[in-house]
Amino acid sequence: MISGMSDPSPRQDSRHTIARNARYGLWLFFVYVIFYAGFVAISAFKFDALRADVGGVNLAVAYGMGLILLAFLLALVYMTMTRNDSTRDSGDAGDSRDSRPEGRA
Amino acid sequence: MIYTASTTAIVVFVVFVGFVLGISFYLGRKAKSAQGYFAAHGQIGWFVNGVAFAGDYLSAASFLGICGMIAFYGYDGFLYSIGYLAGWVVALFVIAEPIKRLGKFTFADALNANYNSRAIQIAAAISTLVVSIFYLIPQMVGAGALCTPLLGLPHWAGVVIVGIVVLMIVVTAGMVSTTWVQFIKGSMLVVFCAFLTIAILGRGFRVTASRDALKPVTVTNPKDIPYGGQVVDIGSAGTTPGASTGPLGPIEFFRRINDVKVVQWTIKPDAATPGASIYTPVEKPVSDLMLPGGSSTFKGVRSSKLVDKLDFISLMIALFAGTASLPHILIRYYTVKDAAAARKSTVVGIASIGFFYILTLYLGLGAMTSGALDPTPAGSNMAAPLLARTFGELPFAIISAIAFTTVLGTVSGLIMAASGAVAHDLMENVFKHHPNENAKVGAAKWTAIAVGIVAIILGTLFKDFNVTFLVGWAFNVAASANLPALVMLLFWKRTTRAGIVSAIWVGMLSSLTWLMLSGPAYTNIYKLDASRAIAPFSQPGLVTIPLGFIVLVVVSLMTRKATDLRAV
Repeated sequence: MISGMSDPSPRQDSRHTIARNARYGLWLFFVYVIFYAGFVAISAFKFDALRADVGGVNLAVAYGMGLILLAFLLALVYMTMTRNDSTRDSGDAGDSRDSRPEGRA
Repeated sequence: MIYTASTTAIVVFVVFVGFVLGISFYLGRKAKSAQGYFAAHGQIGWFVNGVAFAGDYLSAASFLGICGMIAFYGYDGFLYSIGYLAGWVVALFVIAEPIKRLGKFTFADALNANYNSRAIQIAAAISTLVVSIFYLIPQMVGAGALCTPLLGLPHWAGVVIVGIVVLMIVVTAGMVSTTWVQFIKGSMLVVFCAFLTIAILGRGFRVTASRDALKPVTVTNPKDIPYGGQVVDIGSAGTTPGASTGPLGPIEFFRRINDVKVVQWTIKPDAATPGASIYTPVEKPVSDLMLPGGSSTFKGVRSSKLVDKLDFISLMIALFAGTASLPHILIRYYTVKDAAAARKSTVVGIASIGFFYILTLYLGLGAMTSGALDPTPAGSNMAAPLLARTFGELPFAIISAIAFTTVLGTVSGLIMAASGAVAHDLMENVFKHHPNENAKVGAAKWTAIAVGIVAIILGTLFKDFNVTFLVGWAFNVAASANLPALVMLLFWKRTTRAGIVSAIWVGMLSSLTWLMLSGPAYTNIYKLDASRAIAPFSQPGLVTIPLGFIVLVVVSLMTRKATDLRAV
């Protein structure tokens, strides 16, 4: 039975790491929000634009599929951008008890 | 006759359920402590947890409901796919890491991490209970709907069977067995749907009936209901029954479907014969169904009225914001080791769930053009299994059994969330009753049984409700009650405990009140005319989610002094 792949040991991340990961996350979140809001806005207010032909399929199908693929793409980008101290040697133990992301402390 | 008893289906069904229960009992031997029961000892690997996210999230509504909605109304079902997946973006980028760092067993733990407030625990626990029970109803209704054609049992029997099997899973080993059931179910669902999609593409489109042969029929016996989803024209490839496009590629499938014409049936009661219905064939080009707005839920898209458009926007916002506010999804973050594992498992979840939602469009359109649909309203939940039956009895049996385990996986997660809210949040943290580990797990199990019984009763009462529609309601309540508190706690340093408590209560009560005063509630619950509804549109999220944020900010600013004093 597959027991899954897990990191060798859990360790708290430094405040710096937490803040950086949260910042990247928010940026990518806003990128996605723009595309999602665009889809909802076109559907609600420019309905006929959804009939436009995009490579043989209509815009509704192309945009919908695109949103699903974009979510996966951004998730991969986030994975490559973020780091955790448990994956490096230089964990900042002094800040390890602070569990709040940027702007909260 | 659309449904016939199938020995293969029953045998496969029994084997599947036996297999899932066997694993549950086997793993259950290992989980004795509260940490084991509520959070699977925090030792689930990120890959398994990621697939278990898919197993937890891809409920009966996702699988049966979306495929059925696409098969009947076209693109509208896919709007749910888009919205449900978009919600995971919020979960990954905003919620995943902090919720893992802040909490221990439950969503209430995370909200309360910096405050140690009894009021927050109560509000978060009640909101968990309300959202989980709301979400349980459609799952149980879906289970009942599935058992009738599959096993020939009445609706209530299906609901009771699911209730009992789920309680056996949850009571034996809590989150450990729940996780593995969800992992197995998630993997099987995605893999089998991929095979089914390959089979659909391999078959291409084929003419299933002659246009001239389809005439209005009066049906008195359900056995005479005609098959829906008949294809009468496939463009240049012809209109003769049996004509086929041959195998199609994944993009070519969408190009060629624009040439396809299907026949759907409109059903009206026969005034002359009591109990009889007249089925009239209506030919539609599929290209018309490939745009949003075909169903009553999303008709606002094509309406010229602003209120109707706001209803559509409101539902899309609720779907986007609801996922990361669902307690049964959030508790999965406590089964992994650390924040990095939480993040990785969310990415695995997005990959498997996103892949599945892309498949839903092929499955739904495959069902729409299968010539094997049950055209009655209740038949929409059976579109995917009936599509599978066009490829043979065994695929039908497998997909029905997977659909049933789909219900088991999601219901297990929901009951776990509810039992954690009562045994951990309310009993231990609010009433300060600190039982030993065994007694705490025992209390959680008794709560699970109580919630299971409530779910069985509600699943029977709400059997006529549309499954996907009820899930939309649960997303609205979850997003309104939980999201403002979660987000502001993480990103606004002036958030106070009073702000969090009031945001949860206001968000929960305002969204529930709005739903109960909306058109669909008037029609389906009170049996009144929808035009008399007080709520201006049916989906509250557009108003009640921002309301939660506003209440949190205003109350936090008003109570800031007290918090500062506490900090000193």
